Amino acid sequence: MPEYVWSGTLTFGLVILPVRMTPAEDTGRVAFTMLHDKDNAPLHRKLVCSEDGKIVNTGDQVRGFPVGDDDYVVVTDSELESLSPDRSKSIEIEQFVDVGAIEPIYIDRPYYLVPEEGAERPYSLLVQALTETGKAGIARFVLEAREYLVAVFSIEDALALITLHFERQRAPVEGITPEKPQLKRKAVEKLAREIKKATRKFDPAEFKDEYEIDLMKIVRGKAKKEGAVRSPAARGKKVKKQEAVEAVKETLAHVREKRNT
Amino acid sequence: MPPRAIFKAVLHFGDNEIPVKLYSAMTEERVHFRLLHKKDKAPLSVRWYCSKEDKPVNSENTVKGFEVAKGQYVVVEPDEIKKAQPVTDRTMEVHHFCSPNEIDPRLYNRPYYLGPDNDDSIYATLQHALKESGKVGLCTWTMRGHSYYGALKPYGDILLLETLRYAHEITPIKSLALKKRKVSTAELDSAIALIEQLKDTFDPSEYQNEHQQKLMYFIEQKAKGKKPKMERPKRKKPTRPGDLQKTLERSLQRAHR
Repeated sequence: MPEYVWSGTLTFGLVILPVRMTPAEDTGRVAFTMLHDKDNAPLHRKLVCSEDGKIVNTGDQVRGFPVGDDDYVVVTDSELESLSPDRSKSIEIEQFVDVGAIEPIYIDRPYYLVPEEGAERPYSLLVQALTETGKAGIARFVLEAREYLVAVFSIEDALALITLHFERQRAPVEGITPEKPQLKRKAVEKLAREIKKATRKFDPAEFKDEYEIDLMKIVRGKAKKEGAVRSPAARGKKVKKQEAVEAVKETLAHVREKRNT
Repeated sequence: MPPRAIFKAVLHFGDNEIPVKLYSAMTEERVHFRLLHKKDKAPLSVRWYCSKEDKPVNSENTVKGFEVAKGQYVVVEPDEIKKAQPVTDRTMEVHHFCSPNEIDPRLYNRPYYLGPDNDDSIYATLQHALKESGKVGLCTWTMRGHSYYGALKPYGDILLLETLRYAHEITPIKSLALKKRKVSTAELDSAIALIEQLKDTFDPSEYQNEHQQKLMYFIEQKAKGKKPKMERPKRKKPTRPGDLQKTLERSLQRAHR
């Protein structure tokens, strides 16, 4: 089941569509768990008070903006929401633009929107209309403490939402631009010909994360040699070496696999 | 202040070697909060806790485990993980070129400016050749112990390198288990007409981070001891599927005005 990070409404014109948002990136496959070396018990991150060193639970935590030494302005969740009340529960499409007009430099993170139960038909309608027009809806919305500029467009049968950077985040190019390059027309043309010759279709599956593959090979080697350890809370039988190796192989195949997204 | 390069590399393509410097193209812009203890406003810090003993654990007493079954792990030592890390050789290999529109927007990760490193002429030659060809170059390199791939393209008078996500890092659409529903031609026509009416050219500079400006103002007011007024967010009532066509028509009429 996908994990949802937000739920609210998406509006275009007067049409109001209830949706949930889920990340389109999934980097959790090659992930490690921190363990205590002596008993292999998983470790959890806890927030502790810098004064008394004791664990502070979520209910006793507040968000503070630093103003001077050891002084903070506390800002609560409801205060944050109240700053942009319309944008924290609703993604309102303000305009439609050509998908190709969104320069990739602005792209930040990809998500999917999925319809809430009962909203499948308006959702399908927006997907189809965006596909036929090749357009993306531009909207703004607020998630926790941040406002996002987003583009909503269709990929296959889904609505994708991509968060965009704001223009003022773009770093200046001054000081990077070459100063007085000596350009030889022939050299440019020769290189342009080489580029043309080396042009072929892009297939992301051709590019593999060699680091992750090597890492999983090392884990596979360890599984073969030492098998798995059990945490004190583990139930069920201890996995055999071969079973541990198979589990690692499955992840290794995932990072190597050629597949369609 | 001149921008500071974060990495140096040499682009390799055929017999061509082009020394370059990398710069961040987007800066992080957000309001940074600290988590505090509610009762005394003391800042909080993160510690690892053992799930069995409920005691803090120092980092030298931790190991990493790859979970192969619920609660069962293959243990990997830090120096073994280090062994997998690729050696940074500062070579950026350009493998081939493609059209920019072949790259799925979900893949774009982080943009970097590429500037010349000592040799302006060879850099400008590549920049011009790439611009004239209308293509982007697909490169691989290692940086800070990780392997990257990315798209190299002209950007104004310089080059831009966008790191790309690996295909296996994208959640497949079929995992969303979407149910495609039939829509009527009338509904589709109205929705397309509405999109056409609301279409515009995209100018990112039209958008300011208004929430952040409001947030900074709010913090200032609160710091002065004032109590800013609060508004509650409202959830909107969804359009009933049966009213879809009617709502689209009303939207069209409104957009017309």
